[in-house]
Amino acid sequence: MRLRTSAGLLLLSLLMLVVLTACGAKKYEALPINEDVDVCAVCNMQVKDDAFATQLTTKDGKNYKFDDVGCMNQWKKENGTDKIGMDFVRDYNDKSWIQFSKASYVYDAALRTPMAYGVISFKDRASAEAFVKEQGVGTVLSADDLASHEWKQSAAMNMDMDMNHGEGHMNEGPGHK
Amino acid sequence: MTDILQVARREVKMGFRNPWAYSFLALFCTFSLSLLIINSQNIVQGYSAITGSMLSLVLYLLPLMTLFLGAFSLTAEKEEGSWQLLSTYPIGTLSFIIGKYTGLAVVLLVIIGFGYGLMGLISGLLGTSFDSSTYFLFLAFSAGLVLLFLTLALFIGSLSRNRWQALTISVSIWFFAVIGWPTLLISILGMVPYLWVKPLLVAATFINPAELVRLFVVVKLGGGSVLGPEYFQWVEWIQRPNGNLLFMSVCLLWILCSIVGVYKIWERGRTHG
Amino acid sequence: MMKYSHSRAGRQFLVLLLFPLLVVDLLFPLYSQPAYADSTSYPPGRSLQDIIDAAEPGDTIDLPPETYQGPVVIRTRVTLRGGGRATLINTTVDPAITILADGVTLQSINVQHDQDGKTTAIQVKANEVTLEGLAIHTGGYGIMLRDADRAKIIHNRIRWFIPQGQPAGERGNGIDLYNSHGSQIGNNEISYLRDGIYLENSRNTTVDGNKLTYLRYGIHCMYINGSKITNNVGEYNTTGAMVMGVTNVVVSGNSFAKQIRNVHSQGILLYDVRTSSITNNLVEGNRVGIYMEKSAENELRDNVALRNFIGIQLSQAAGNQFHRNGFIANVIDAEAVDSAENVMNGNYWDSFQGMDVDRDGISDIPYAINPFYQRLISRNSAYQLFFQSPGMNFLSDMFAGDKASGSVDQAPLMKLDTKAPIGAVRKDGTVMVTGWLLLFVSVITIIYLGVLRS
Repeated sequence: MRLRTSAGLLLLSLLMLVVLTACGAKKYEALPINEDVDVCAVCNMQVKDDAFATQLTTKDGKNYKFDDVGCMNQWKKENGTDKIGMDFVRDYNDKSWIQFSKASYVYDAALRTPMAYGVISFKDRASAEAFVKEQGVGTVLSADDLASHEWKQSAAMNMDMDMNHGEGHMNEGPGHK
Repeated sequence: MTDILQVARREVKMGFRNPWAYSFLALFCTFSLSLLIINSQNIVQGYSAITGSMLSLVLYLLPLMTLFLGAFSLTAEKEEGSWQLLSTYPIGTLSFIIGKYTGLAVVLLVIIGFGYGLMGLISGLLGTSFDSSTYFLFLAFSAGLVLLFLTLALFIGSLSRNRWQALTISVSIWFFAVIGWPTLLISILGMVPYLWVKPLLVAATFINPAELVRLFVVVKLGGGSVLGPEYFQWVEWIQRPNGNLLFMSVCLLWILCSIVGVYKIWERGRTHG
Repeated sequence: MMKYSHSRAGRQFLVLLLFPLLVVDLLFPLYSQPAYADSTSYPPGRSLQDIIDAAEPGDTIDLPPETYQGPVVIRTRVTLRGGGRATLINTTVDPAITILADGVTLQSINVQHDQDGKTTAIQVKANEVTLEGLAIHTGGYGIMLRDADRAKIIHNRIRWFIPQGQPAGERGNGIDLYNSHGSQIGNNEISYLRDGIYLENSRNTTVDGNKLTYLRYGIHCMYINGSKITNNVGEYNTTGAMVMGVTNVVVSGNSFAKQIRNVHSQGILLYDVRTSSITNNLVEGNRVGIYMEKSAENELRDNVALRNFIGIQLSQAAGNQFHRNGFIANVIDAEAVDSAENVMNGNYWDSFQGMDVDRDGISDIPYAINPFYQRLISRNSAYQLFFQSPGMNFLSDMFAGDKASGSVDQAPLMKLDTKAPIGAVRKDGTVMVTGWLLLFVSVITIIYLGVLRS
């Protein structure tokens, strides 16, 4: 008899926990990148713990990581945005996580990103503009502008572009200052 | 202590006179040898098709054998009235249980030893490339499986009134632990929120000795990466040299807890009876 | 950056002192400098940059077996030969050697590049450059080509190293091409770096006969239409060959083995690959032999997947041709999800029990890839814990009716006549001796404890 009551109690507490988590307030947080296990949910490449990494968490708590904001866009195209709880990108300069919709972006075909989409993200418009000024190339875009962005991978385009700019930014990448 | 030895010795003697023991021995030898012969062209090393199917075979056969031999031995005590007789002697219930466990463990380990001995011998004669660390791993895996399932067998034997009841319970437990396990869990976990699936799955794995031991062997065979990103840290722990120790202490905890549980049941029966 | 270098100066002095002794005396003790009639010799002690700057276009320079300081920049078309004994050490963040002139040749020079991260030992920004027989030790990248077409990179050895007394830095790629077309990369040995050979945006490249070990990705290529990846050997990498976003590529005769370290390891990964041919490759002992995703109209022929955890894994791969591939001793031969309309014919699946009534060597019943497990884990990867659990096989078989939606081999082979290497383990007789012992002990126990005692 004792066995049965304790089993009942266990089941009850489990149920309570399930109900509690289901009703509890949802709070989305960006997970740290683990280079040993994280691969891009779209292109299968290792996600480096760098400024190009992005991630999204669905409403039921499933987390997807991407090596390029272009891959995250591809995921949204394939799976829709209804299920998404929160999506994050990183600031190019300090690698802090920012909400996708609140970030500013810079696009140029000559910018090198892991999957060659050429879009990088910044925490505010000012630092995006500073980057464009420093590099001499690029267009500043908001998250809304990205909705109409055509997301071309630079390789699909003509190869005659000025790579010196792209390299310039690669050499000044994070971790080398 | 002498009580334990006494009970154990009696158990071993009865075990080796039990025709069931020899039929399981024959079954185990036949299947492992035929597997070896089918795969005699391939090398037996690491996690591959042959070690995978050996793993499955062992998982099918050994738990069933252990549950039957163990549970029947306990129900026999009740059915034949020897427990009623023994309880009039000044013999402790704990000594009785531990003695039973030890004796049965010896019988089962000898059966396994015979099976693997034959396997090693034949593979040597056949010229199969059998990696020695893989061989020892399988030996340890089978021993662990038997020792863990034996505690379950004692539970079944204690709770069932007669041999037929023990048979029914043994078969159903075996079925759920070995065959129905993923089906059961997938259907239950389909109802819980996504974030709960993994912790519940891990907890459930610790309850099921078949899965616990199987996963340990898969990781030790070098197949840990197939379990995917979710268990990356578990795999790393087990792969370390003290992973063995960790695993053995989990098994030991398992055995100790169950023996205490079985003791409680018999002790209650003794005072009530 | 400069501040960083200064703080290392003391340690590097030690390295400078030791390295030439090691390289010259230990590695090449019997080598003697040949004299070339048409080449110029220089008195020892001059800086390498001076020697190069003094050369006329077309000159061949034979470097005396000494240790030189980098960085150097080559602006004229010269041939620089080190005879295997000239060593260049670079401690700055600039490349040890920068090549800006077309047609430059570097031969048999030892290069040591003491920096990590995005710095490189050799940078090429010119066409028709030949790099041959170089031995490169680098903390960062090995050879970097930017807008440099038709290069020839052969017989080089590139290794990652941690400069003495420094913490391990961020590693770069062995050979890294960007926007450099028509190159030939052959017979190089690359190890311990990030990616062995990284090709981006570089069409018509030939990658042949390279040996790639202990890397992240042995060969990693994106957007390299019309390239050939042939006869390379890779072991112990996270993934052997990562081929992404290409059309008309040939991947043939490669061997990728023992990629099991990482939870995402594969022999060959094909992502967004079209109209390419993947033939005669051997993938052995990997986590996944061949992984194919979002790829179409490719031909996979005569590949052998041996002793992998999963032989081949398909995801959204449709309209591909699979012929005469062998799947042997894999824990699971094949998995497929969302991959219909692939044409499979005459492959050998050794886990499949075919039936051949008319004895033509082809099974009369088709082999269908069971999609259940992969579909389950794509929903939640936590279920990967059930990989090859006995109950999982039972459950997959119950869903066999679902197979029609997967990929089906209409005419699986009954037997594969291939020279697939079986490999062997060292036989020391331990197993047999232990077998004897176990058998002996158990029989004695049975007799002694069970039969004799009454």
